[in-house]
Amino acid sequence: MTPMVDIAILLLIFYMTTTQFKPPVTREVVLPRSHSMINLPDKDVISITVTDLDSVFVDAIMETQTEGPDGELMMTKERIYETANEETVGLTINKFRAKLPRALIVIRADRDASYGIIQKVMDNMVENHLKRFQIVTDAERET
Amino acid sequence: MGGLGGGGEQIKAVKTATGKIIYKRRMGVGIDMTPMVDIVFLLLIFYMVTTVFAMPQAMEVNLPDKEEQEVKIETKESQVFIVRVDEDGNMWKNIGRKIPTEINIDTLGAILIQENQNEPKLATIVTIHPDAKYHQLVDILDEIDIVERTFKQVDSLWSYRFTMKAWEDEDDRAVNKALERATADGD
Repeated sequence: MTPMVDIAILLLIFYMTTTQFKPPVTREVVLPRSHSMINLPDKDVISITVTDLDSVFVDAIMETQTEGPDGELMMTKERIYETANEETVGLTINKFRAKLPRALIVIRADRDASYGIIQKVMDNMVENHLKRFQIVTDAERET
Repeated sequence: MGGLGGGGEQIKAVKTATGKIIYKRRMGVGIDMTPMVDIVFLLLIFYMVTTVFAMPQAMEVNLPDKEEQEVKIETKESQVFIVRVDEDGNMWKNIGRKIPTEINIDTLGAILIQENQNEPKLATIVTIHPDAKYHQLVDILDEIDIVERTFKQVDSLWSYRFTMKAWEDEDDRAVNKALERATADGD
């Protein structure tokens, strides 16, 4: 039995170290599919979430410095999110960008969100000089 | 079965500082590993089931400046290929002012390749009704991306000439005209 247990434990360690639990998202969205192969980084990302009901949120994981109980400085990661709409989204992103200057801007929109809201969000972003961003999609499954 | 078991008695010879040899009796200790193995397997199964290797993918988008959007480029009508998505999610294609014909996303890629081969200077206009779904925009951008990659294999400087245009009344009229013709053909 020993070799089997050894292998089981090795596998267990592999899965334990490689598993990345999905960070909690503010709203669950069903992403559209594409053939794009660019992987999304998991930090320094400002995401604009558009739900299927066309509500808009801006969120990012921010590192904040706080003083711990023993007087030491501690870095805590925290997901900050703010409700926005198609007219304020650009300003909200720029507010986040002031704290995260190198962050990538991504749009996570539900596949059933209306095109109109996305168009308005993008127009507002261009007005606020946010012309480069990425669209988050799921990998297309070849059938 | 208890925690301790098996092993049998072991007799160990120990030499003391004075040179005497004492025989010590020890109980052999064996640990039953079954519960540990059970837990290891449970954890293993848990991690195997919850691990998702597919990470979300991203699509790069570069939008032109507001001023650049105003730039007018003159093209011949026969070089303008229009893809429309109406409010019900139906997709239409036409060249210039011709009456649109209905297509679907599965054939769009092949059509784009063919039209670009027929007319190297083709400019594609994508117009989507505000009430259409967002995934249709992503589907079309994805197809354009694939077509661009296909052409780039032949000519590395090739880039797809396309633009997004807001839906206007004129687009409603074009789609209605196509629908009228479709019903007329049906009769």
